[in-house]
Amino acid sequence: MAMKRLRHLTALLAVFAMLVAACGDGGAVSEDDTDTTATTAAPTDDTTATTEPAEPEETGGELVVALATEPNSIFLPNSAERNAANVSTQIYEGPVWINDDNEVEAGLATEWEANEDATVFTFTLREGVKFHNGETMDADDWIASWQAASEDANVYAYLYQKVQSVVALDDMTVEMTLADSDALFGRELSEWAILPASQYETDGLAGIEAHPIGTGPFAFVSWDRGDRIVLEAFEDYWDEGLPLVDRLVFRPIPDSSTRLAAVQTGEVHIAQRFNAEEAATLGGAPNVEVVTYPVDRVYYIAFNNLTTGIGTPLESADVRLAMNHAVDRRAIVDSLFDGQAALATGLVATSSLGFDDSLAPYPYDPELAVQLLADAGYPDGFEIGFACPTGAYTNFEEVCQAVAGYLEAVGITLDGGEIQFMESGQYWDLESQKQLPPLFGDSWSSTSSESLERLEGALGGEGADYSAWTDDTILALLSEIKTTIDEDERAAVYSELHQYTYDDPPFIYLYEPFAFEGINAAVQNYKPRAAENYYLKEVSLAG
Amino acid sequence: MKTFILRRIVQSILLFIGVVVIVFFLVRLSGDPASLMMPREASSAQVQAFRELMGFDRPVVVQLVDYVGAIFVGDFGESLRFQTHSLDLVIQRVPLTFTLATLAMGVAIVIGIPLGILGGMNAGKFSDLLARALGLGGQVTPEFWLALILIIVFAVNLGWFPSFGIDGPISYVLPAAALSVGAMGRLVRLTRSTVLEVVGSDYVRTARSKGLSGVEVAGRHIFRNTAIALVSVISVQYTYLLGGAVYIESIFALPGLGSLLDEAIRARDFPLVQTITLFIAGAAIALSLLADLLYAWLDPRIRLEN
Repeated sequence: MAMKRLRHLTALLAVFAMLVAACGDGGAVSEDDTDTTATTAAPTDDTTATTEPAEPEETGGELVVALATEPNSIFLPNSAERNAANVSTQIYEGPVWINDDNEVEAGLATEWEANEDATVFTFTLREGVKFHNGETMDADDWIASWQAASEDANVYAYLYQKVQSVVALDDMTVEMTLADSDALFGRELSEWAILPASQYETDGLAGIEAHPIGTGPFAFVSWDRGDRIVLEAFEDYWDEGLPLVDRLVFRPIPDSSTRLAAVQTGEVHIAQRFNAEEAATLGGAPNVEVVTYPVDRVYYIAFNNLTTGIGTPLESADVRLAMNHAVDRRAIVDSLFDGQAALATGLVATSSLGFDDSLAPYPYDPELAVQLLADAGYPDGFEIGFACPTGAYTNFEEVCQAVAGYLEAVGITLDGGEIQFMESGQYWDLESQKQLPPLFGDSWSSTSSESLERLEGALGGEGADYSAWTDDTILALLSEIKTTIDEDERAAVYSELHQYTYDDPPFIYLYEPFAFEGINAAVQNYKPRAAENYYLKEVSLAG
Repeated sequence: MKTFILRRIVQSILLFIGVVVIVFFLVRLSGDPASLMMPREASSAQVQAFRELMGFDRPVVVQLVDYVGAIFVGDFGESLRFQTHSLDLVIQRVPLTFTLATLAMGVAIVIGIPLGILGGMNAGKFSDLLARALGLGGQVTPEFWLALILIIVFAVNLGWFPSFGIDGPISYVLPAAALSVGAMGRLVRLTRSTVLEVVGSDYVRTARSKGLSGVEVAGRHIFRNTAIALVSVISVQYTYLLGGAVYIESIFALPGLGSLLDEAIRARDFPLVQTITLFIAGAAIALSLLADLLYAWLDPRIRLEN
């Protein structure tokens, strides 16, 4: 009868459950080890199916980092986004390094100089640097690295294609000539990848992608797609005594709730990209610390004076100032982001070079806004088109709606009666063709710790694809920034630009969001940067 | 029987080609891939160069003919994001997804069918109530929600299972459990109603009146007739499980086909999206064909009808 069959089934299930519980206990034990005694041998699960040779007992341990997406490539010039680049920068190094105080330091080059108009750079290579394959670095490797990176197949090839030629003046001296002057070139070099010429010559890009070889503190071991990337400490790393951990394992975990769980259980040591609520959950956990910092990304509502905005009231500076006063940024940040964002005062971000901290966010003053509008000749307000992308940024649709509400309160109504929401792909297409309505919301990040990329991108006028604003003073200041090599002088020009765009705003500046990361309490010395990048050579796991 | 098999195979091939054409066009409605793949700082000249390199500037019909032709020689195109043959990427990931779907299906069958039979044979009693409750509950529970709950309870709070990834057989338990509930619910309800129907039918009453015991009735008559209905449901459920695996794999960070599809969609990597979709569609068509053949073998009425 079915009863008998059911009984058999129940027995089978009970046996299965017991087996499962037995394996489960084994798993739980090794997880506890990870939390408390991390100085023992690599705390990987004993139940793992992958074959790992028995590691000798060393201080150092295995650091596990969660990635928010699976990297497309860990060859730095081809790493499409931050997650991929963060793995790659543990393997590869460039001529310079940007330290924790945002200063440029010697990297694979010990000295360098530029000519007057920043078009020719000469580098003295560091002696005795070894690649992961044992070879010693010399000028030929730099030339090959530039050639490999400049291949069109690489996502960031254009950064390298700026360089017209790379020549070896001798074995340890390299001269790079740029097509156009670029004062930021020095900083950008921190994200270059120097690889062995022999690898490029023998295996080409395909070989490099399959097995990246660099000079960095960690060497590539394996990559199981979608599962994990394993790197191990490079014994002959030129910076003696580093790195401090034995192995790095990167695990992609796309879902933020799962990342949250993984850092709570101790299965990962470092996890990025949490929102304010998730960070609050972590706040209570005893073995996790929350790291917060303003990300180098500014959200804004842009004005157009190049195409769709011509002839609209936006051409008046008073109108634009009025709009900046009409929006209550604090309220938006408090209600949508739990107060966890910095109010923006310009496209020069808080952490960037030349940020003028004397400029306070525009006070929320709707009466002043109405006054300014009347002065500009619009006592009854006006109608204007407003678009916003969907699915692109956390809560940004709500931000746009809030802004529309504030504008309406001072008499500025929307063309068509509502915001034009568009799927982000279509939105950015239109943006690149300068075909969005005169008001459109967006954000821009910068990875070089200077805001030039963002400023040029959004304010570069005709010549910049995504820019809807042209102003001769701004363009002149941007040119000046690009050709000012001295950092202090350049900072001064940024400040001037910051002030100019504050008095005559081409945007309604909104906010710079905070990043939230969860770090296991055993991790020491983890210092992420504003662009959400990090270097792990000085990170260690406490005993 | 032979003409039946031949006819079904030809139908399946035609269906697959139809899916190829649909997938090709649907995927191109989402925006210009060239400007989305390139970083925002890239100049329009560079985007255009990329567009030409990938052949996106050719007329759509030319691209389609090229694509269909390539598929028939096994060339599914190169993934834009990973720059390897997309079929290779898919094949790498397939074992995990099929293992997960099979395990979930197994759990659903092992729990769902006996429960359904129990309920059907004891209509109106407590076991029937249980069956109906679990059936409904299983069907309405959102799998991704259940996945997160399982992670919180069994991984974070109890520490019995890993919260993500594959680190041995233990890692399949929570994902398979979460994935199985929907199918389990449906199987319970279907089994129960089929059993009810069969139990009340003439031939069972005849068998009983002939003096056959409950077990023999169940085995010979009830089970065989229930099996026919279950075969087609199970094959359809299995393809739903392949689809449901997308959420579950993303949540549990399992390196399977589902999480690859999730990544591909977000990166607008459409050669890869197409390849995965075609693979799953192909699997669904093949399974449905198999189910039909099995169905025809089990039930002579099917293969004899025109």
